[in-house]
Amino acid sequence: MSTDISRDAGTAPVTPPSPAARSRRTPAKAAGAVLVLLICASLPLWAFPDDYSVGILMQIAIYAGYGLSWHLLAGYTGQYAFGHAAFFGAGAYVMAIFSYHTGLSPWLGLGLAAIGAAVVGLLVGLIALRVSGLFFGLITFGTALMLGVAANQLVGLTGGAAGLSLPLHLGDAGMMQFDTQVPLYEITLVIVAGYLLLTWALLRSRLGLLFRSVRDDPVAADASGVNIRGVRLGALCLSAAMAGLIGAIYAQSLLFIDPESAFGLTQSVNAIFTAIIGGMGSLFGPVLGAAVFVLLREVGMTISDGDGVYSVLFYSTVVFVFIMVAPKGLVGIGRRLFGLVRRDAGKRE
Amino acid sequence: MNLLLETLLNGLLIGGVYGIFSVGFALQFGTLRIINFTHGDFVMLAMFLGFFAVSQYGWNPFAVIPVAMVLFGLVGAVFFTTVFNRLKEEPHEIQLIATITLSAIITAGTQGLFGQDARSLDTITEIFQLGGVHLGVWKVIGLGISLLLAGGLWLLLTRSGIGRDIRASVDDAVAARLQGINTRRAYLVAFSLGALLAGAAGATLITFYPVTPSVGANLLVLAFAAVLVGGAGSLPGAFLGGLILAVVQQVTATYQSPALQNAYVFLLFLFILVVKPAGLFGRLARVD
Repeated sequence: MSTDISRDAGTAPVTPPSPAARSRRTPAKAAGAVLVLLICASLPLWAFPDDYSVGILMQIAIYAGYGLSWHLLAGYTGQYAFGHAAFFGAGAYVMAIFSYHTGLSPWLGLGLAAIGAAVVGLLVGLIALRVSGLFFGLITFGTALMLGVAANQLVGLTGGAAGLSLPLHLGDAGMMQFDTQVPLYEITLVIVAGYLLLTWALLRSRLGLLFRSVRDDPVAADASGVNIRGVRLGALCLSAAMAGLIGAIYAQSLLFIDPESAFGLTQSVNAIFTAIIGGMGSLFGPVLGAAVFVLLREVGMTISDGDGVYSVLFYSTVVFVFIMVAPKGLVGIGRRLFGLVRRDAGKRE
Repeated sequence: MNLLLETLLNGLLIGGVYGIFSVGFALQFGTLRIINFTHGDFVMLAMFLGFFAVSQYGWNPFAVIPVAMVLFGLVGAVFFTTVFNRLKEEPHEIQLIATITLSAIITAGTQGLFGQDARSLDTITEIFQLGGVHLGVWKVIGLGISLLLAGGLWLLLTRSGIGRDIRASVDDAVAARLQGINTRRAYLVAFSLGALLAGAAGATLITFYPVTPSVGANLLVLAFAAVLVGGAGSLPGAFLGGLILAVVQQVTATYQSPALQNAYVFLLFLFILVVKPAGLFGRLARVD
């Protein structure tokens, strides 16, 4: 039964256009992407200079990266991690524990966080990849739960349920702390851009083809000599490292981490929210989804006077109605609109 | 020795309730192939129903159980017609996110209404002794009700016409439809039965277990683990899985710490997965 689940999971079409059309459109698309990125990077300078707005931009960037890491795994290899916070939180805690206990620069911690999360991914994968589909999802879910218990219990290392506050070095760039949030926001944007580039390059590489073959028809892929387990494990480790790196940035942006925000159910669901709101199987979907998700959450916070419960109620309801109406996400709506335009243009030719 | 015996017996008694909501979950998953993340929240809502009916209106907890069954069966039917029947045709990620969001809505809505405080029926504490072992009366009653319901469901599925329709729809929906079986009705009944079991489980559970709005997520994890430990595709397996998990929880709580309960459940789950990936009673072979 797990086979059929992984097979028809991720039915979002990723049909590549013909090579000629692709090479014609690629430079324009790339230029557009760079332009959008530059605009995003410059937003704090001209549009939203205040601390509150930069904080929101920061969150959007973080959830974009987090959503991209989940989507790489689910969208392209069909492995649905219900507990993606296991990797996000592992990265956040590696970062926090490292800088708290050694006093060394968090810049080193970034690398360690990615490696630590990848190791968690590897361990999960070695067990979880004996099965696939929903079972895989449940094991990541349970891993997040277990790591949450560990973070609560190992008080000497993690500070327990009260969390871990990182030492202040305000204005010390060597310690990755700045006078404003803007530099950290720019760093996060660079990471997100890196994730986009990585996903894009993967999609047109042989490896990307292997990813999708494992998603669309594992039996046929196996018969064609594809090392299914190896491909799945590789994708899982890569995705985990990406989530861990973003988790480290998250911890550094707050200078605080606790078990609930690192490994909680909400944090796992957030990754899925961003990817699905944006639309599965599209490169920029998670970025769009992150913007919508963070803004919805802020609107919810505002209209409920900062009551987190009503905020969750608000954005969950909006997301629910949205997916019942538009299951293909924002990108799906966009495609439908542009699809109509393009078809018209084709007729005129 | 008495402590160990008491712990094991308590585990089995609580396990009956875990067993029936796990069976409900397995029934819905087995027929619709949708992971219903709201299942745990149904149990939670039934617990609230039981709490208010008993503490505010002085109902006998016994009387709440059939009311909860009927009520949640109906709610299940409404949920099926409005949401799950449509979701059935959607890809898995849409089903997943839809039921997760629905679960978040129910949890947050309940938190908004009742707050995050734990509520329990501490009025019901009758205990009886059996050879030096102390057992809660309501836990014994709970196991009795659970066995009754599980047996009833088994009879319904194996001996009745609609039960045959449900089994046929699970085995091969297309072939069943070609035979003139109304698969939509079979799904509707199966889903409502799952919700009905959640209602019964919740109304029973509240007699000895405190309720908070977020308890649904924990219960769902248990149901999921019970199904996989018992073996996906096997309803008796799901029931036994529930029993086993409850015993593991009780032993952990008594001898280590209640905080580690679910960690041990997960370890057991991993262990079973490594030594017997199809679950203890699984019939389905899994291919990678």
